[in-house]
Amino acid sequence: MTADNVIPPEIDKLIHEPARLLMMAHLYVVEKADFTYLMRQTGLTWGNLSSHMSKLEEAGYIEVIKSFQDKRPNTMLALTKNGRTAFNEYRQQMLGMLNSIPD
Amino acid sequence: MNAPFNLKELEQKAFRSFYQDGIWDIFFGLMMLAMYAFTFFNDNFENKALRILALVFIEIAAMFFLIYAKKLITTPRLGQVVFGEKRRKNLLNIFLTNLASVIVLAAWFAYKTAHPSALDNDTLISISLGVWITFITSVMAYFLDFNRLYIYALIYGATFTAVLLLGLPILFLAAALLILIPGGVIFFRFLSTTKPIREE
Repeated sequence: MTADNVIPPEIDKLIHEPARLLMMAHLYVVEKADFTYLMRQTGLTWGNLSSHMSKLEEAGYIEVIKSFQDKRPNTMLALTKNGRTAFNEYRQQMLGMLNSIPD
Repeated sequence: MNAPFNLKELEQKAFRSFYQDGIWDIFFGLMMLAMYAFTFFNDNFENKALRILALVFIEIAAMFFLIYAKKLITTPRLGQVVFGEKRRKNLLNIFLTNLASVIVLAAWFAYKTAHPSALDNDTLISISLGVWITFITSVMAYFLDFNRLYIYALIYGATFTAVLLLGLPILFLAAALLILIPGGVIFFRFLSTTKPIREE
């Protein structure tokens, strides 16, 4: 019995991974943030963050906003509309599951 | 595991983490120092323009410190973030609170000028001013979600009352140091424990 078999099929496994869950949660409560902010808040390393960010971006959950500030490149991350919806649904499902556990 | 589900707490913790740099503490300490500078130059120099220059100079220096320390010291260490609309609305509320305060004080001043003998109780005026300053600063603390500012609000209010009642402007300096010293400790601790993050 693998961990994947235990998780109900309707739970978004992409978000369910602990590091990605932390990233999604931190991005959900703000409009946008950069890598440094996410590193500080989540405690993840740069490499870890980068790899999880790619997966979330592939899934269309986050968007990478590149711009210039004082002539320096600036990269911000934000949840897309799909990302916010997916996170909200995940949260509701998890809360529902946890609430249904008998005492 | 609870953190990602208690979103309000998560956001609040993240927002409040930006006060761990001590920069706002130093700013409020400098504003109090500006008051001391005003009274010092007023009492010790005949040229009254100097007191205005001292006040404005220190206040402008405090603003520059706040803006540039946040940009050059805090942002490389804690990152950049745009918090939600509710936090931005709070900034507007702070502006409106300060505007209302200025209007009330101006109205009081105008009334007192027109009726010099009215509200002539120095003790009452001193205490009222102290309470008003504490109240306005506490409202700012609420909207800034900056808990240490509630303590500074009490220090500000008590200092203004004490200076007016006792006639001891040195109390402004004492209050400034009471805020600047812990603020400085927080700032230097932040510099030593939170290093800038370099992009890999």
